[in-house]
Amino acid sequence: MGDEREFADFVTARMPAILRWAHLLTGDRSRAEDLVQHAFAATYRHWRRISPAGAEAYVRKAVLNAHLSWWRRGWTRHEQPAGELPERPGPEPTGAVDERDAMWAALAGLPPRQRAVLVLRYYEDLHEAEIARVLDIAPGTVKSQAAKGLARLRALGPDLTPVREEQS
Amino acid sequence: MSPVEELLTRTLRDPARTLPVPADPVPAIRHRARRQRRNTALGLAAMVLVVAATLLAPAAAGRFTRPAPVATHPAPRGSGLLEWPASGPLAGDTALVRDAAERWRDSTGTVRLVWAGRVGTDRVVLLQATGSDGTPALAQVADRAGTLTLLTTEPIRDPGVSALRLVDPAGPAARTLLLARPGAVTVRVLLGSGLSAPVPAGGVVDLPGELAGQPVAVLDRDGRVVGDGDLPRPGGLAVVRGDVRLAAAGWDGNVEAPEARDYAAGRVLGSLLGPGPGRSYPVEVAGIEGVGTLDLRSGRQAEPRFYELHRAGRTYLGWVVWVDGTPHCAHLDDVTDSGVQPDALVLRCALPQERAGLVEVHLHNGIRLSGLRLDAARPGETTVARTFPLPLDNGYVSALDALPTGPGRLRLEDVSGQARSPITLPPYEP
Repeated sequence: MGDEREFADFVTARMPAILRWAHLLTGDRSRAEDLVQHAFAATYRHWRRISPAGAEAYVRKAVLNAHLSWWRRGWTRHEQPAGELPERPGPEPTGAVDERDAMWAALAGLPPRQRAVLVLRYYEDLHEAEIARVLDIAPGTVKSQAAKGLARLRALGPDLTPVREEQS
Repeated sequence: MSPVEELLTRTLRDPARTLPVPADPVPAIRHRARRQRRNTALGLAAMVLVVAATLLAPAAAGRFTRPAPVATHPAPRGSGLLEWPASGPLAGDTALVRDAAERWRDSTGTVRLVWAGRVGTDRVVLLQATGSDGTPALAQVADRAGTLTLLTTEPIRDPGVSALRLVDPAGPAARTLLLARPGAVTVRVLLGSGLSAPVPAGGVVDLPGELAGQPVAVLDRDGRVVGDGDLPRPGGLAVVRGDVRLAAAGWDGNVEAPEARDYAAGRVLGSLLGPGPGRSYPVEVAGIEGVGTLDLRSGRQAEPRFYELHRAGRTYLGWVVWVDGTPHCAHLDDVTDSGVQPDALVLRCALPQERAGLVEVHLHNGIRLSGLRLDAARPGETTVARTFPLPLDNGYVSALDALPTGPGRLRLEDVSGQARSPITLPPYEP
């Protein structure tokens, strides 16, 4: 019973952050919710063998693995639970919001692993070596994937040059 | 940090990207965990099934799957199977043949049709294939009133077999059903009844009587032996080659088509050589044409006949005198090491019960007989001396009141009249 309580407390405490992180990874709310539920369920099954300190890393790893493996298998072949319509941010009065929306749309065009590298680097503030360990890839691959991802965002994303000129 | 990195960071950390957490998510997580456990168990079970199916499928396939179409072309040489093309008036009845092959469940690999036809009112199919133990085998299936029955199976010990004895689907009967290999025209029983029967269009010769163990020869249109062997017991299929095989002679002279008594001569002459190593020590025998038949005082007829015999890599020349079908005066000479064929074969046979003695000279091609002398050696014998001003090129045969048993001598010449080395005969020993 104590394990059940601990697990419930863990879910309550960490789900918001992990759900947001999953949303950043996938760019899709329903997919993020499904991945997170899947990862927490896997964690629940092995809860007694997982140390409290490593629980969040376990969940994140489960989310990441499921996301990347599901993407490799072809996400569209799987059922996508969607309790409500995907979010569609409405028009914002400021140009900064438009830029972020444009960047969000550009992120959606990246391959999942490239996107995961950028999320881990610019959201989680992880170093290349840490990203390499999380994604189980070589540090050189992290570097190249980050460079390619940024280059693609420059191409797909908003034109940032006028903004810089205005700011300067 | 570059502008794109700055914008990316701001976008990722935008509070607007925060998703609302579902109310009380733990029950849904627990439910999903149970589903994952069940799916994992089902997955493991499915994996076990797949592995089991992979391991068991090859063994089960031969038992449960429908066999491939039955092949009708001859088996490849060296396969251990009969190299017979499929034959028989029902060979084109693919449904019958396929059903018969299904009835033979012990076969593996390609099942080949040997023959399909009617025996009485039954439809009969003979098949061959590699058996489940890897041995080439024959099977006979009979269809009686719509019920297919596997009558017998038998390993193929000799793929060169020339005839098969069908199992009589009607049960034991005083007859022998013999299927001759395709192309055969005549089947001849070599001993005993001496029956000779044409092979009908259907391929099955119906011989009267139980002929188990009898040697038979299968002849082609020109009377040449294309196969021979001993008939199997009832219920057996393959005609097994016996200790005597009919063969072609290497003698350069008049050679006769093999016939029944040649097979018997093989046994008679083979016995002169004594037993060979092992239980079976076969001889090959070829008949060589003699001069003709002689009438004896008793009214019986004597027919001297020369033979060439092969056994264990050696070649022998000899003769048998047949008196009303009974062999007399069998004789053999080993000519393996002589290197050349003799100019003449000389037969001497004393037939005391007939108060007669026979002399026959059989000449090699291109050799003529110009003189013959047989010296008397015992009381009552008379020396025989013949001179032929016109040398004989067809040989010589004579029935004497008493055979001179002393030494003899032949004078020979070739076709140009050039004398050949004379042949000296030792004293005659019956």
